[in-house]
Amino acid sequence: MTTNKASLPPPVNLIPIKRPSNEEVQDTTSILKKRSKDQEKQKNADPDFTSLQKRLLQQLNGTIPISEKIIFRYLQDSQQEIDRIIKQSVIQKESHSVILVGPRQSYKTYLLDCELALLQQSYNEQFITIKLNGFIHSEQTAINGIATQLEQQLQKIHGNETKIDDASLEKISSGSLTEVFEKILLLLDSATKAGSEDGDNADGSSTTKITVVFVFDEIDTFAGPVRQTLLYNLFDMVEHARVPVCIFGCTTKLNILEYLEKRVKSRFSQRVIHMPQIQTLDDMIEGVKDLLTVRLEVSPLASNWNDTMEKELSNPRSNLNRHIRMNFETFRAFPVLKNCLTPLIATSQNFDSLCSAIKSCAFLELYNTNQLSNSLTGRLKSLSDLELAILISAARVALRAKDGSFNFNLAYAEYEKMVKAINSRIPTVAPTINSGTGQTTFSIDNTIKLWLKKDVKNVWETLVQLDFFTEKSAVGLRDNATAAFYASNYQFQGTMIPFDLRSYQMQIILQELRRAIPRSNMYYSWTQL
Amino acid sequence: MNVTTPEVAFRDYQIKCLASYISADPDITPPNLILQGYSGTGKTYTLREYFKANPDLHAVWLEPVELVSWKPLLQAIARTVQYKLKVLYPNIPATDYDPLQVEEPFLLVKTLHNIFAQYKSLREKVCLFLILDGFDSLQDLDAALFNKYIKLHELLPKDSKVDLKFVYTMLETSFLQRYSTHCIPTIMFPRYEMDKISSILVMSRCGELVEDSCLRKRIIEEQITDCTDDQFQSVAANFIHLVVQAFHSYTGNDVFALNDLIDFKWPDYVSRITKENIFEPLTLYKSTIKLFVGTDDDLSTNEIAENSMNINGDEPKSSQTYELSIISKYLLIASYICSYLEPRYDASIFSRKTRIIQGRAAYGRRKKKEVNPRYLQPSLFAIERLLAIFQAIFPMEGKAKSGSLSALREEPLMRANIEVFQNLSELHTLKLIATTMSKNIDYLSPKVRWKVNVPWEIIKEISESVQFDISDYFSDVHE
Repeated sequence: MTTNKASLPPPVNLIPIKRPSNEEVQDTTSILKKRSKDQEKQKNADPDFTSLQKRLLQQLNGTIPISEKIIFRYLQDSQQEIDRIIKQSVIQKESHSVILVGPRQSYKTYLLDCELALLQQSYNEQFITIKLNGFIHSEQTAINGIATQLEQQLQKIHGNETKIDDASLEKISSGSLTEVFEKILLLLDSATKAGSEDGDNADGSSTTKITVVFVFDEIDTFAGPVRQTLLYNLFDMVEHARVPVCIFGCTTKLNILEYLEKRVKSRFSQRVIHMPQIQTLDDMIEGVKDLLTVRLEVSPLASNWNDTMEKELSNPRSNLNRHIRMNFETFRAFPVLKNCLTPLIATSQNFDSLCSAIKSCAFLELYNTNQLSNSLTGRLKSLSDLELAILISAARVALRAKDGSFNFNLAYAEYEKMVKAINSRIPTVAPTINSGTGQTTFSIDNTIKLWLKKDVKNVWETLVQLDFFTEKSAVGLRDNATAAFYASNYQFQGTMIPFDLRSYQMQIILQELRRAIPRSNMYYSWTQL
Repeated sequence: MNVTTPEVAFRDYQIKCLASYISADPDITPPNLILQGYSGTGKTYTLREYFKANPDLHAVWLEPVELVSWKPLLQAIARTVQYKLKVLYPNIPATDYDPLQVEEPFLLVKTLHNIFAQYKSLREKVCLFLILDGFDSLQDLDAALFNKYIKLHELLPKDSKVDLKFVYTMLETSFLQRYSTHCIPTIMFPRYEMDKISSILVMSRCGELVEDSCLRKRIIEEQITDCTDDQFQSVAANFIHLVVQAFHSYTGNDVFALNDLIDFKWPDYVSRITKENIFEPLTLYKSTIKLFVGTDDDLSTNEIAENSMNINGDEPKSSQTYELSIISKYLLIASYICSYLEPRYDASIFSRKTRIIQGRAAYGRRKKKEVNPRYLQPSLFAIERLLAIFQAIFPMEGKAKSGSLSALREEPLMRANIEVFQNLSELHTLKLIATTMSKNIDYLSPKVRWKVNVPWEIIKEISESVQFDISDYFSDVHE
């Protein structure tokens, strides 16, 4: 390994955290450029580094082999709980129902998948997993979904043997919904038979029932206002069916129990696991350490890497630590951190550049800048001078109006007034009026150009497109497909009003504009009434 | 990371990120990736360049905007994925699944499951990238739809050899922000700045402009022989810079609008090139200055404008005629007056018998308002008022001599006859006049309130076309 000093990013203390000036960005982009050149130079990187890099990326993406999966410390209690329940139902053939409650990206599905995959290794063929997602399955299609998955899974267990003893098994997913549902229930009820067949080749015990594990993502969508037949029947099965059934529900709704109807609730075991959240900074740092620590057998560089990383993490003044702290205080979420660490690791060309990248964390700065580049302020900075002038004029009108609304006419009138006011104060040359055409011509053109109303309409549309204005009475994105379908056939009043008179509301107000627009800007003075 | 990174101007960071999120190894490629940026920020271009530079990455492109609704989108996914796999692996026998059967998101899962199951014999896992270009441009977009796609990978079989990865590009940050809790890796494409825009345009357009036939023709006409390709290039580049400088404030950082302006103005610019000024940008600019002063971005067809210029010389403004009858035009004018003049002035403005009421109450003092009412929404009025004002302003020309007997038989005023109502209903259908209710209107019902639906600029043109000076009625209040 040769230390390529040139490719090292500049020391971090040169780059202060929150000062989004252009130079800084250029500085970091130049780093990127350098790196891309490096890449061409070192096309054939050493295999030790590549394996380390690949391993790190796999860890970040959560795709390493199951036995090595990373379970963060703060999650371990709930993992054990889930583990216990799954094992009870698969090994001891008990029936259970649990609902996991936690915000998005809180490792609900991850833990379940992990546990199921672990069990799959030792108890394959003893259980079937049926996965449903409330986003993708509606209550009706869920029944078909269960049927198809049963078919697929049973086919897998029975191998290619086409003869399935029960005639009704052959096409579970055919027929009307009620028929299908009846078949499913019947099948689950009589699954002992199906299980006994392959009981022989499992572990030799007399008869083995196959446990059916249901995993419902977004279970709240099945707990809708009407009937909840599906949940009712499945929970009922937990109580009565002869075949062991285990139901896991995942949801983000804290009050999920209130969603369930009385008859459904009474059949549910009332076991709710709340996914734990990161409580302390130490949890977070520990988690990052778990994420980035590489097993020694992966690469000869691993121990070196682990040392470097540990040093960075244990040093409270290091850049990495600072970023973790920032994440802890804002998002408090590993996925966010993973997303920005992925390119940091993937763009490194060799071990030294990786180490220096993790030390400087310059890429993370770049990442954060990029994530914010299309925010309201970012968009504001990308406006041309005319667009900015119109935006400020609109904000002035909106501030003066009682209800904060305005239209194109008013904004243009304001713009016209402001430009004329500025131009009248420019002392240089008096305008000469051409008596022939009546047109005003300026001999020296140092006044601000007053754009025509019809030209400004184009600018207005751009501003609407960039979400600076929202049309009054416009309804946002519809919640579901049916609502969107009805909306497409419905004309709201706004579309009938002529362009100039449509009323809009601002997404940004004048005071905010004053803070976002640099003082050096020509229109800065307009940001005050 | 075995990927090559293409050179895309000003998009180094984005290319780097693409390279770290998109690779042939499914283990290190996240299932969903979002590229967000407003129109004209190079999302599609960058993505295409990336896949061009890495031919071993297999991608399927779909444009939701063409597919209108969620169902065709699902079907298109099934169709294209199936087709792409067939093309990629012609040696593997695969049964055809009818993509039209995919009528539900769950059926897509089922179909994909079945399709992928046929490729079990593949030696290695492969990534298949499904690129939904402009996801939020789907017409029947709803908030639940995106959830279905980002969760789809969880339901696809884990042991399948084909791994479907989704890449979305989208325009709106507001749409993206709805799904921020899902923490999907996102690459932002910020809008370009002015200097970047002009260098991009120079890079992309120069060659094309030089090759343009109108330039060739002009060169031959003017017998410009001693000019190298580089010099032509610099003429084109200079032109692009001029366009950007002149119109940047108008177009903003919109590449498409600038491109249109370049296309639109280039032939005119070329037509001013002579043997003398081709090497002198300044004189060339001076001779073409007209091009850069106005956008000439007009809805009226160019031919008419040119014709009228040729005929009248100094009057390029073509007057719009609006295919309306005289009665319609007067009705429209009357309704504009109804909407924008207060009813208490009616008596003094339209009545021929003045001073029915004595004193100031007769006319009121018309005070100048703080905001020109013309800029605001029209106010509502009853149909009787419209008809009365219409009657007052509609010119009736008596054919007979005044004072003669036949003059007595002629109506002195326009009546609200069937023709008038026909015209009124026509105006309503054309949405030039609107009512408070939109369906099942009884035109004569006193409950229906009316308003004009035409802005001042158009009403002015219309009144000019019938030689009616509408500004007179507003003159002492606002200009």
